[in-house]
Parts: sequence; structure tokens; C-alpha cells
Amino acid sequence: MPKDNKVQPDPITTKSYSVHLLVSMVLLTGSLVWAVYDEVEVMRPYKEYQARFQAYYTRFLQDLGPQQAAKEEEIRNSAEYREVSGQLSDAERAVMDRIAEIDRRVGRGVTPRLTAARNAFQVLRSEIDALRYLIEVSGDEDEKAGLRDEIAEIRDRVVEVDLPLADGSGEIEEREMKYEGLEREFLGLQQERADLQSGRAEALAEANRLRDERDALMDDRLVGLGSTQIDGLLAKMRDFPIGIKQIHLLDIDLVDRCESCHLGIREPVEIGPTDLIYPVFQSHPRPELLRVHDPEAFGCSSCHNGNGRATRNVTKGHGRHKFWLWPLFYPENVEAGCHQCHAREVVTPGGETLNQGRELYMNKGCWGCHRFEGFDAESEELTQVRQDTRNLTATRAANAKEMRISLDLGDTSADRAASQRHYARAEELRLTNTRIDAELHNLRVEEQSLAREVKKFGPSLKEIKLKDRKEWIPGWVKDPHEFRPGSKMPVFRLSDEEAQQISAYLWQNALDGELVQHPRGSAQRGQELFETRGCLGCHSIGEGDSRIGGTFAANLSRVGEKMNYDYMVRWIRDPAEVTPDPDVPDEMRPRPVMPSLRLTTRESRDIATYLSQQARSDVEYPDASFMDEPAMAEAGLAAIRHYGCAGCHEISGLEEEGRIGTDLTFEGSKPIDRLDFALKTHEAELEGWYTHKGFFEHKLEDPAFFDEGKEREHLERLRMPNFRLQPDEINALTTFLLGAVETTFPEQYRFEPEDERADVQKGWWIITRHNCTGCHQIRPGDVSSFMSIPRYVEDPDWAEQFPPQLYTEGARVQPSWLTEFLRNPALSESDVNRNGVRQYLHARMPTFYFSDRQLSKLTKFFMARDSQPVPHMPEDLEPLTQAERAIGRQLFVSDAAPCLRCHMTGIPSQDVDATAPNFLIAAERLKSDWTYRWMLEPASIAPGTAMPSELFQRDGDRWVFAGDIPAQARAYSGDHADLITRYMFQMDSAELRRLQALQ
Amino acid sequence: MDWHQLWTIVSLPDNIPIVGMLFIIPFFTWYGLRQAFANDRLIEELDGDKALARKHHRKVQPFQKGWAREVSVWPYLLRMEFLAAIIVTIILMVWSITLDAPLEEPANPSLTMNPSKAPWYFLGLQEMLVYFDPWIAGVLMPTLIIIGLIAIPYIDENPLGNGYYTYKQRRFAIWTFIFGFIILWSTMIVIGTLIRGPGWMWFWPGMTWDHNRLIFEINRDLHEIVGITSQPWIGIFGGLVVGGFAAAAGYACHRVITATEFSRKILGRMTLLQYVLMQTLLIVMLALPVKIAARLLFRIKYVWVTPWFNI
Repeated sequence: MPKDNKVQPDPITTKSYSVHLLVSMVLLTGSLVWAVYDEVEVMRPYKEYQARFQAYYTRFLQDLGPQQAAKEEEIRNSAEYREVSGQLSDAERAVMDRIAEIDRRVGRGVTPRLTAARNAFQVLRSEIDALRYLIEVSGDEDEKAGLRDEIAEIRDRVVEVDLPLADGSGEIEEREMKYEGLEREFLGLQQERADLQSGRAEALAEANRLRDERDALMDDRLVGLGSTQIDGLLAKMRDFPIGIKQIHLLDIDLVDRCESCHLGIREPVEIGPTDLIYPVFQSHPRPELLRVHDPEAFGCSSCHNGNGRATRNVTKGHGRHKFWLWPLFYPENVEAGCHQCHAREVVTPGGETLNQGRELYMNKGCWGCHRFEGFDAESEELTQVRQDTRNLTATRAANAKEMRISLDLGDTSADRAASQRHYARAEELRLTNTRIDAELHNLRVEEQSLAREVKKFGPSLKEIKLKDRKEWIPGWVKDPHEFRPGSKMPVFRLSDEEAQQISAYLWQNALDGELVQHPRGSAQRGQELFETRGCLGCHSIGEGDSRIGGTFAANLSRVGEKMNYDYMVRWIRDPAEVTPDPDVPDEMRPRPVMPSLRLTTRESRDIATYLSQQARSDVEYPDASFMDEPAMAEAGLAAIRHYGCAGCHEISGLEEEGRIGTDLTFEGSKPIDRLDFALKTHEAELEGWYTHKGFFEHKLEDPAFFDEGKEREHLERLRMPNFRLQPDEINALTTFLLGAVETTFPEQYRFEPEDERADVQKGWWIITRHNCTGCHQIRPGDVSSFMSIPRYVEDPDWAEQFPPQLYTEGARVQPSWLTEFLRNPALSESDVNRNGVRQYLHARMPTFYFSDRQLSKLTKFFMARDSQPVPHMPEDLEPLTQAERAIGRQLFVSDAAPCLRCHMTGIPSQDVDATAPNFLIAAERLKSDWTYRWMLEPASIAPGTAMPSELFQRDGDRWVFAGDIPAQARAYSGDHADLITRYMFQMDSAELRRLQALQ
Repeated sequence: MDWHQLWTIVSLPDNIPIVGMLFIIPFFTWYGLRQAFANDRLIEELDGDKALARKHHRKVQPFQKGWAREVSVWPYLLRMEFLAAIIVTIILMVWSITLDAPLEEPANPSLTMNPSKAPWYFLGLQEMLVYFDPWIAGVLMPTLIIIGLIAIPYIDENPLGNGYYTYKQRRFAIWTFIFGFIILWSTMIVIGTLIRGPGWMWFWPGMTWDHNRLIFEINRDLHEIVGITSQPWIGIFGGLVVGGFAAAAGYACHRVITATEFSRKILGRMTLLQYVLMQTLLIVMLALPVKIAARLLFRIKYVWVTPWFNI
């Protein structure tokens, strides 16, 4: 301790902390400023977006304005516009004086007087009303009487009113009036004003009509916005309020602030991705979808996902965040958002990728292992029907038993009332059982219908002994894609041994049967038939670049190596003909997917001969004698169960086998933790694909992917086989699965119609399952398999050989006829080797083994699509007079209407060049109103049709033939198209013969 | 070494307090002890110099002529506290601006997150659940901790060390604190935060938190190891073991309490009730590390199994 006398200053009392305090206070103030800045600017980045949008959009509109104004000017200068404009100004001028007079009287006369009268009247009336109220609530009669006197006093009161004169001179009339007088004056003036105003509207009616006409003309001609609208938008931009723009939907708890940044999304003008510099400002690329799904009612994130509430930054708003369960769909998957509400559909208009995904799910057979609601619904309905049948049968038996007991009790009961009661009970039960019997009958019918409809995805394997070459089977089971690249049968992860065991089981448990022996036919004729009868609508042939035909069914390039010739003949002639199976009664037998083309035995032999030659010459199949060893079959059964073969194939002994995969109906909303990323979890997290999308894409690309690196026994490995999908197919399926979520939206958001729109939904399931679009175009833009067959595309003679387009089929044909046609397209019980309608087509409409339910659904589908009522009430056509019939006959063979040059007549020599149906079936097939329209403008109904357009021309309010027609017809005063329609609908074979004689 | 995983855990806004704690607790412990040792030296000096001791009033700085014998709370203490308050406010402001609330996905009652962790200040309790049944780890022990904290002023008969840091005069209290708070409580929070991963499995820092990790970990009860199989004997055996532990721990604590002349003097002032209460609390506190060691090193699940409770 220092001993000097100099006193050290006390460190506690003398040390200054000013600097510390100053620095701290500055920092504190700084942090406060920072907090405010953070709150106002950093947390609200949309402000910057909005400022930019305002600037860029204003500039964009300013550029657009003159362009649109020029277009408008051009339209204004057009003759038609000027004519209407001229008429408009004439009309306006004509009524100008009258309008001015009315306006003067209303404005300067009636209205001021009315105001003055009303003011005075109202003072009195409110005073009276207040007293009346007091009377109503008063309980004392004396008081009431007093109040009534008061009212009478008021009614008697004389008030002085200054009323301006009604003629508009501006002079004031001083009057002394009582209540009644005032009321009369007031009501009278009101009536007068109303009369004047309606007179004004009447006078202007013509001018208004012309103005509407003029504006409609402008609307029709102008592409894009008018300059008035653009000026409106510019004004909106001038007063653009900066702030959150949000949609709030209370019932689904949705708050979407997407439009705080995506400001151009709903603008009425089309804004491209770069028009406003940043893509964020573009308008919705598919505004037609917004018209159906108004954002004010649906929001944004309900379809697109993402975090609608977040506005902090793009990542958070789009929900691309580990903790946001519904991240924004990437553009390639955007249609996934449709499925949650359109879950009942297999085809959603406008959702091409999604539809492709659903179609793949159906036509790659995913549903063989993975249940998905709606797919293979028939088998579930069948199970339900059988369950109901069992329950009802049990109830019926119980009722019968109780009935017997009641009757016995009734017989033996001593008490008359009691015995009556027992008899009544027995009677009641008897009635119940009668009702149950009826229900059981319905169920039985439904069961038979459903049993026809239920189809496993793959071919039945019960007949492989008759069908396939024994040595070929093990190799196919092991790797189907080696034999047939692109096959729908996927590649399972089988060892050689397992493949052999499975083959052995299938072989040993296949049905034994006899096949009729057929001689060989002509391969050349067979090829011609194969390529033209319609086989290529579903099947393809040729490999690599030379491949032609559809992808729905197998590629038959090597089918000769594997298939037995005699079996092939039987199968081609009638796919429904099978070897009897002792386990399955015939009416419960499922029908094959492949339809019958109603070929003769000879034709079937020709095709089979041609197909048998489709084989490689240099292939040796190894010996397969092990397939007869019972031990192998036993092991094979276990493998078949393990790999779920029975999910897609009918296999003896495994008829009741269930699906082995997980249900995918709500796979998209499965918590991510429950998707087994296995050892890939960490990699996925680091690389950013630890998402549903990432899982689906990797799994579909290589189903064994998530097994990589796992130490597993052979049978513990993932079982899903490899479908060798293309990238676009993977994307489509991913889109579909991403959309497969359990929706949280209430019923009114979901598209689950009960009206005819439901018929459309149901119909698409059948159409997709039976590949109708392989041959027909049902929607504009559909591409059928025929469009890839060279001769149809290149040879002009074959241009008329395409199967018909079905765009307006519902409007064209009668529903009852359509049902019968679909049941039997030959339209004949005896003469089946033909098309019922278009006999000139080489391709043939096949007979599908539709059940009654399916026929009804398909018919309703076509009707509903064209808003046609079912059942159809045919219009009563006026009978033809003798004169009309004669004119019709002449017209039919005239040069102006060479109908019989193309339309079939039923005479083979004449029908060689025919390219249109016979008139004889018109009456029962067609709808007369459609036929009438068809004749007037066929090209607008079926683009590319051979039916000539402009056959008729307008003459006043009727249509007449455009060409040179006989004098008698020229003299006919009625509508020619109507006459022809009626003539056609009353055509019979005698009439047709007469026509032919005339020709 | 998975640096990415380590960074993910350490940078989680939820875990920032614990990462801070890793540095702050050692620092303040060191800082407090440094002052305590300085004071001890001063006390020693004053003990040797009676004259100086008579003039010396301030506990920290040696007295000098001309200094006020006492300093007022206002302004000399409060201005320091005010400064500290400002600095803490600045830290909190900057913290709240730069780090958002660590929100996770919307709660889903049918789906438990893995690992599902309590807020950081409860992670010590959650870690205790590994070693004891919920009733003991979640109810009994926390209650005892609170009661113990409340009871400290009534147990502690040592009048020294009020208002100044000292190690020598409060050796027992300081060691109890270091053991109970720093070694047990803080360590368990750190383990719960940084070490426990999916499935509440033990992941050393730098190991990948793999949801598919499988470890072979079979826990057995002590009586199974010894080979006792039927109930009354299981209960009796467990009771004996636990009783034995209590006796041994009590004896060890007593040895510590009576280790020095000074502590024996303090003990002499305590009533029997105070002593028993202190011993009970110490034995329960010691039971925790013993059970942790038994569980982690010897895979022992329960020591004492009875039909009513398991320890």
C-alpha cells in the first residue's frame, strides 16, 4: 500500500460513466431505429414490389393506349360503324328538343316544388308519427284519447308553404295548406315527375338500342381492351394504394396475400412474363380457369398451395420451407391442385398433365397393387353387393324363422287378441321378406353386371398352358422388357430361381383344355386385316422407329415366338371365348379388356398366321423341364403371393388375393416422415428434395432407389417393380400423386355434381379404361392411333377411312339407338361381320363386352356432354305431301345435292366408293334438329368432313339449294333443308330403290 | 464429422440460449471465483493486521484516507444497474430483430415430431425422464428441487459471505451449487439440446441425426442381473440396495460436512431438523448422477422394482 500523502481518488464516487452511458444510449436509440426500419421496410417487401408495379404497369398501359386507340379508330372508320353511328346521331337529334323540354320541367319546375312540398309535409308527418307511437305504447285510454285529439289538431293546423311554380318560371306561390292538402300535393308531384322520367326513357329507347349496337360492334371487332378501359386502369394506377392485398375466405380459413406481389394476376389485359420486366407481375397464364374459379371465392393457395399468409420473402410465401406442409406446386406439377376437388374424375378438362397421370395410373396397372379410390371401383362395389346380399339373406332367414314361430304361437294361443297379434306380426314379416326378395333380385342383377365389368389389369394366366410356349415363360417373368421393350408388365426384382418357381406354379396350375386345330391362313391377307381392321387402335407392331399403332395394348412384334397359333385364332375371333373353369360359373366370369372385332374364322386365321410370323429367327429358348417339378411350384406360390402377381392377373388358387401395395388415395397428404426415404434422408435434405415431389420422382424413376445401401434379405427388399417410365410419365404421375390429398375443403368447393355433369365424369372412366380414344377423337385435339399409321396419313384414298370423330355425338344420335349400337355395333344379330353404320370403313367398331350399366353410363356421357336430355323425345316431323316427296326425290338425285354419290345405298356395286352412312337408318339413329344443322354447315360441326359445305344459301327466312336444281324444286316455297330432313327421316327401302332407279 | 448437422443444431434459434450458456456459465463462474479468491486474500491480510482491520470498512477495496466510509446506493449502485439494464435491452432488441421465433409446422395431434423437445429451460427435466419414471422425474424431483431452493436460507447457518464474494468462508455452499446447478442441471440441458437426436438417442456432436439409426440397447433391472425373479424378494432386494445407497451417500456427505474445523463449527450450530433436511436433499441430488451412470454405463433400468413404484 503506497504510503505517500497524496490521496487517491475514490474509484466508486469519482469514476465517471458518462461515456459508457452515452455509447449505450446511442446504441439503444440505434436499435430502436433499426427495429422501426425492420418493421416498416424489411418485413414488408411487397411495398417495393407495388411501387415498381405501379411504375411499370403505368408505362405499359401508356404504351398500349395509342395502339388500342388506333385499332379503335380503324373500327370507327369502318362503314358499318359509321352507319350505326350516323343512325345514332339522327335518333338523338330527333328527340333532342323533347328531352330538353322534359329535363327543363323536371329540373326547374317539378323537382323544386316537390322538395318544398315534401319538407313541409314531412314536418307534420313526423310529429303525427311520434304521437301515434305514444298512443300505441300507452296503457291509459284517457291518455290515448288526449293524444288522438292532439293528432287531429295537427291535421287541422294550417301551415304556410312557399311552393315554386311547376312550370319552371321560378316564381313562388304562397299557399296556406293543411295536412291532407299537402299530402295530395306531394303525391301528385311525385307521380308527375315519374311520368316525365318514363317519357324521357321512352324517347331515348331507340337511341339507346343503337348505342348498344354500336358498342357491341366495337367489342366484337376490338382485340384487347378499349381506350376507355385503359384510361380506367391508368386512373386506378394513379391512385394505387400501397398495402397488403388479401383474399379472406372465412369458411375454409384461408387468407391469401399472394396478390400483394403478384399484382398483375387478375388484370384484364394480358401481361407476359417480361412485359413488366419481372415475371412476378405477369397476368394469370390461363385466365379461363380464373373465370371458372373466381379468386374471390377460391383464393390462390387452395389450388396452388404455398403459404398465403406469409409476406416476408419469396421462400416463405411460396412455402418452400421445411415446416410448411403444402409448398407451392412447381410449374410442371401445377395441375396437382385440381385433383383435391376434382377427385371423382379421371379426366378433368384443362388438366392435361393430371389427366395423363391418371391415365397412366389406370393403364400401367398401378391399381393392381395400390388401391386408389375410383380406380377399379367395380370390384369394390362387387364386394359391397355380395356383402349386402349375405346380410339380406341372413335377415330373410331370421324373418322366416320368426314368422314360423309367430304362426305357431298364433295357432296355439288361447287368447283371441294375442293370437291376432301373432298373426299380424307374421304377416308383417312376410311382407318384409317380399320386399327383401325384390332387393335380392336387384342385387343379383347388379352382381352379374359388376362381375362382367370387373377386370384385372393383366391377362388371365389360367390359360397359359394353351396359350404360351413353355420355354418362353421364365425369361418373360424375369425381365419382360428384354423381350418386349416398353411392355406394361414391369420388371420385378426377381432372382432367376424365383422366376423359374413362379413359372412352374403358373404352368402347373393352368387349366387344361382342348383347342380346335386350325390350318394356316394367308399371312398377306392377315397383315392387311391387322393393319386396317382396327387392331392398331390399341396394339402396336414394329420396333424402334418403324413402330406403328397404339400404346394401350401389347406390341406384337415378337408375339410369334411365344404364342400358340390355335389359341391365337380363338382369341382373335372371340376374346370372350375361354376354356371352361370349374371354379367360376359362366355368368360370373370377367370379360377381357380386348373387344371382339366380329371377324370370321378365316380372317382370324389369316391374322394369326401373320402374327405367328412375327418372331426373331435366331432365338433359342433354354430347356424348361423344371416347370413340371411340384417342389418348384410350391416355392413359386410363395413368390407369387410375395410379389402380388394376383393383383393384376387371374391365377388359379389366388382368386381372392388382395392388393399388396399401400393405398395411394391420400398419398399426397401423408406426413413426410411416413414416406420411407431410408438411407437417402440426409442426402435428400441436403439436396433439397426431402419433399413429396422428390420422393415420388425418385421412387417412380427407380423403385429400388430407396433400398440402396440397405442391408436386407432378398425377400425384405422393396417389392415395387420397375415400369421403366419416361420423364414425362414420371412427371405426370408425380403431379397426380401430389394432388392426391385428403381435402379440407367443404362440400361446396368440391366438384361433385349430381346432375348431368356427373354423367360426364362417370363416362370418362369407361372411355379411359376401354381406350375409345385409340380410334376416336372425343375432344378436339385428341390424337388417335390411326393418325400414326402411314397409309391413313399419306394416302389420299384413305383420308375418308378414319373412324368418326365424336365431338357432337350426343347431339347427333338418339340415346336409345346409341345404347343398342354400343351393345352390338353390327346392328344385326345375323350379319355380324360388318360395321352397323359405316360399312365402307375398313376399320371396325368392335363389340365391347359392356354391361347394361356401362352402356347406360356411356350413352348418358355423350348426351350430357352435348346437353341433350335423356330420354330423347323425337320431334314430330310433318308428313311429306305427295308433291314434297316428288321434290325431295328430285333434289336427292340432282347435281346440286348428289347425296347418293357418297352415302351408302345397300347395293354392293354402288357402295364401293361410298364414304357416308346409309339413309335408311337415319330416322332411328339421328336427331332431326341436328341433321338440319348438319346439312347447313357440316364443317363447323366436324372439321375436315367430306360432307360438302355451302350446299344451301339463305333466301329471306329460309334456306334453299345453292346449286342448279330442277324447276319444280325451285318453285317450292318452303325451306329446302327442312324438306330434305323430313324426306330423309321418312326414307324406306322402297323409296331408296325408287331413287336408285332415278339415278 | 458432419459439420452441416452440427451447424443445423447450433444455429437453430431455439438453441441459441444454450450455445450462449456454454460460454456464459463458465465465464461467470470463473469471474465470480476470481473475485472470491481476491477477497479471501484481503480477509487473510486483515486477519493478520488488526489495526488495518479496524479502519477497514469496505469489503472490496482497501480503505484510503479521505474516502467516504460508506457509499450510497443512489447514485453509485443504481447507475451501474441502469447501464446494465440498457445493455441487456440492446442485446434483446438486436436478438429479436435478427432471429425470428422458431416456429415449426402446424400442430398435428395425430403426428408427434421426432425428436420432440421441450423448451430449452425444461430440457434438463426431460432428460431426467430417461433415468426415472415420469412420476419421479416429472413430479417428485422438481418439487424437491423447488422445496430445496426455498429451504436453503433456513438450512444455511453460515453468517459469513453476505454482500461479498468469498470462497473460503462458503466452500460447502459453492461446491453444492457447482455440483447441483452446473454439473447436473446445465449439463442435462446441454445434453438434451445438443446430444439427443431422433428417438431420443445419444448422438455425439458431429454425428448425423439419422432417423433410421438403430442401436442395440437392452436395459435390464438390477435384480435381473443379480438373478432374483420373484416379487417379495425383488422389492426387498431393491429396498436394500437403495437403502444402502442412501446410507453410503449420507455417510459421504457427513464426511464432507465435517471435513474442516470451520464446517464442524457451522454443523454445531445446526438443529437436527436442519441437518436431516439437508442430508435428505443431498442424498436425492446424489441419486441423480448415480442413476445416470448406472443407466448409461451399465444399462440398468430400475434398481428398485415394487408393485407401486419403480426407481
